[in-house]
Amino acid sequence: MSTLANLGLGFSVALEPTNLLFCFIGVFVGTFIGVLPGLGPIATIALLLPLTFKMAPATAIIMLAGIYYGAMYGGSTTSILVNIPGEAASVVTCLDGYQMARQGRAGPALGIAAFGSFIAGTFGLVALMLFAPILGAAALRFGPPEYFAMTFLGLTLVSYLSRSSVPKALFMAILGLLLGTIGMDPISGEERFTYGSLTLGDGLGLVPVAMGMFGIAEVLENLGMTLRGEVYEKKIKGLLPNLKDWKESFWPIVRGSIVGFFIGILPGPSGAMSSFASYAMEKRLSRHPEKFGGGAIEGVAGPESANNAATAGAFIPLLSLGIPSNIVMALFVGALMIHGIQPGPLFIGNYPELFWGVVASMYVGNVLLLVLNLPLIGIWVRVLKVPYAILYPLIFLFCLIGVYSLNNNVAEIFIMVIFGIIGLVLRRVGFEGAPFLLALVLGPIMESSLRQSLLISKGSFTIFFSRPVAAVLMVLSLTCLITSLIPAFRTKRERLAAEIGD
Amino acid sequence: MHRIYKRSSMVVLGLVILAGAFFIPGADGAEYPTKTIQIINPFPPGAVTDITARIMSDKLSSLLGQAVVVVNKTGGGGAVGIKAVKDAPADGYTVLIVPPPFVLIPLARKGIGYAVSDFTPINFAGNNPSVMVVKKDAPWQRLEQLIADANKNPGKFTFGTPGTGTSGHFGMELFKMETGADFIHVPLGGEAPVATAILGGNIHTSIIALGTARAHLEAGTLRALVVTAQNRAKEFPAVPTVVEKGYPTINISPWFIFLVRANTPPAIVDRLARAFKEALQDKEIAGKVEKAGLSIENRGPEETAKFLAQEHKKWSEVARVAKIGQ
Repeated sequence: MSTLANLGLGFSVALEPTNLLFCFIGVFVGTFIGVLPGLGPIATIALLLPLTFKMAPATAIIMLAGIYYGAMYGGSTTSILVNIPGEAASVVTCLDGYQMARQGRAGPALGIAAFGSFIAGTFGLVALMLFAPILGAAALRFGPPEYFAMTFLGLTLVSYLSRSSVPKALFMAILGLLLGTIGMDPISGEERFTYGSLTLGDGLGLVPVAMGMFGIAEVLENLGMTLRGEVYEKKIKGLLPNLKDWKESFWPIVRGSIVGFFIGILPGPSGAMSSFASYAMEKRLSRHPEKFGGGAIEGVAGPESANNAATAGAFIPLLSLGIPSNIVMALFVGALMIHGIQPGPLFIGNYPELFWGVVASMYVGNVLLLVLNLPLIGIWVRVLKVPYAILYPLIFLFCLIGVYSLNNNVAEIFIMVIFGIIGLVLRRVGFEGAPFLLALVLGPIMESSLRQSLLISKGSFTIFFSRPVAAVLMVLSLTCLITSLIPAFRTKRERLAAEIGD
Repeated sequence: MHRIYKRSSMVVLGLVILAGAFFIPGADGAEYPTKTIQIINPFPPGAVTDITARIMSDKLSSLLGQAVVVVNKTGGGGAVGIKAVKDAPADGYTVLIVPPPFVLIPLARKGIGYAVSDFTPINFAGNNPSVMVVKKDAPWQRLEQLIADANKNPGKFTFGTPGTGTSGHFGMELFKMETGADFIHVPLGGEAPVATAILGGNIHTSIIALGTARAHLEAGTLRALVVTAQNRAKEFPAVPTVVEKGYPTINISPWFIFLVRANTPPAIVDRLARAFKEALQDKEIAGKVEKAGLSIENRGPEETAKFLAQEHKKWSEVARVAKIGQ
């Protein structure tokens, strides 16, 4: 009951004309920058931060939060239309979303992404509202050993990310892990494989690599195909998901929302991890896993829901512990501190109108986003009708601008282009980018958490099994590993038996 | 005919623009500034460094009569942005804001490509007081107890830092040197993971920014043993300082300093120094940066240069003893 009363208070704040207006501005800007590849919420929020100094704190956070979750909505658009992930979180959306677009089903893909985002966003909010204080404490149970166990579990999912050959996927994952060691050693600070490059000192940036391997490689590959005009089917089949699409997407959206929300609570690249996890899970649970990678709508619905639920989850460590789990959250801390408000364990109690106002505004914002995005689908789909000779140079240009705007670092443009070429070569020989990117996301976290754990345990590996959360995750990943190996052995044995029988 | 005429007029226009570029007044300070001034922050947005620069930029714009914008040029643990300012023209249009890693990076990583002497200070904006914290249920109520315990049990207690070669790491090494206490160094990759690890009981102690710790000290989930600054914190008058505890050198709160590259004309340095000083004297600006976590110093170029020299000497010694970057 008190939650309802609080929510009432929240809506009274969120529906004030000024706050409503800034909520709309936030989600509008968010959608826009989400669509532009590379241009992310970080640069935008940093740029707009000084404007918020003169606003009321609730208004400021309502607008900035709108940009953040609005960008997650928009992020899927370029993945689906032209195979360019605007951020690491939309990499997996490329896998099936882009295939759908090529089959003339860009509309349903964009539609299910928008609806999935809406449902997941709303689910995430309800969970945020009900469980913020409890889950904040739960996030604290995640120390280095738990992170290691979780990334280990993540890596066992690699085989689900391959469209065809599992050995090739494993090869790409290993390559990802190896390239993930580039940069400063997380423990000793020694530089590894940087060859004097300062940029490589931080490791390979996920976004430049993702944009290169997916976006640039796609542009390069299609340069050849467009001459023969076989990139997209010209006929556009429907703008919205049909009943069959909905049936197939329902459970992926539900599962994606739950998984995304819980992964979102954890610090780090949770958006990307949640969408990878959701994709792998859907493929594992699907009755027709072979359709994944060829335009299965579940492969869009699940991950898109997951990364939107993760944005709601990411607010939990900030609002209940005062600890920002990513740079966007750090910017929110800055925005609040200017007004003399310190997020932390006492935040919700001390500033109820602020907390509930922001939560309520997110409900409003999610509705606004759906209303804003559905009509846009028709426009986006028409983008595909732009002649390739105009479309591809434009995509290339947007990629260049986007990747530079990340850190204002020219070296990252080169990284993107180099990975574009590597991506093209790998495609030609039948290797895929997704397992590589998963490993590149997980590898550095896995390495540093392993080594931090061993420093804490003074070298004993029992730390991974003596703590409950870590132990459960380790057992889960070992089970995953074994069950995914057994079928391979069994079929081999059966085949052998059959041969002997013959 | 018409087309040729049009084209030649374009050429003329181009020549005029080019000529204009050559006749832009030299940067001797008399006309400075005539274009946008960038403040390069070599770290990602959101931290106190960034917020301070962004709060000041509006006021600086009106004082200097040109737009002053903050640009995050990140990479290489800060080195990319710092080097970009070193390589920019010495015309005062590229200002750098830095926290202590500016001094520490060249000590921790040989051949990084810049030295502190490549820059001229503009203003020492202030510092961000830090506190040494332990979890609420930790056995240590006072600093002496932790030091004594860590002295008796070498290799037993863990000290979290944002990473090797960071100011947290240097601070820990200095703490060890001064107090004789022994800790296992656990580099965690950032201040947020450090705070999480202490709250979760995964590490025993660390020195973190008061801004990060404040909410937890108020809620009682963390306990502050000592403030690593000159003065006690206004909100927590009961927490003693390192000076009171007899370790004045462990005054290691991160500072924020504005610089331009060396060889910038003195008139321009002076113009910038006056503008920055005035901006921080503004009540509204001062109030905001204080809320963002800054304890204002607002010192001019000479004093800042002296301070930087002291810092360089102090941390060089720590790097030598702790064998950082050797």
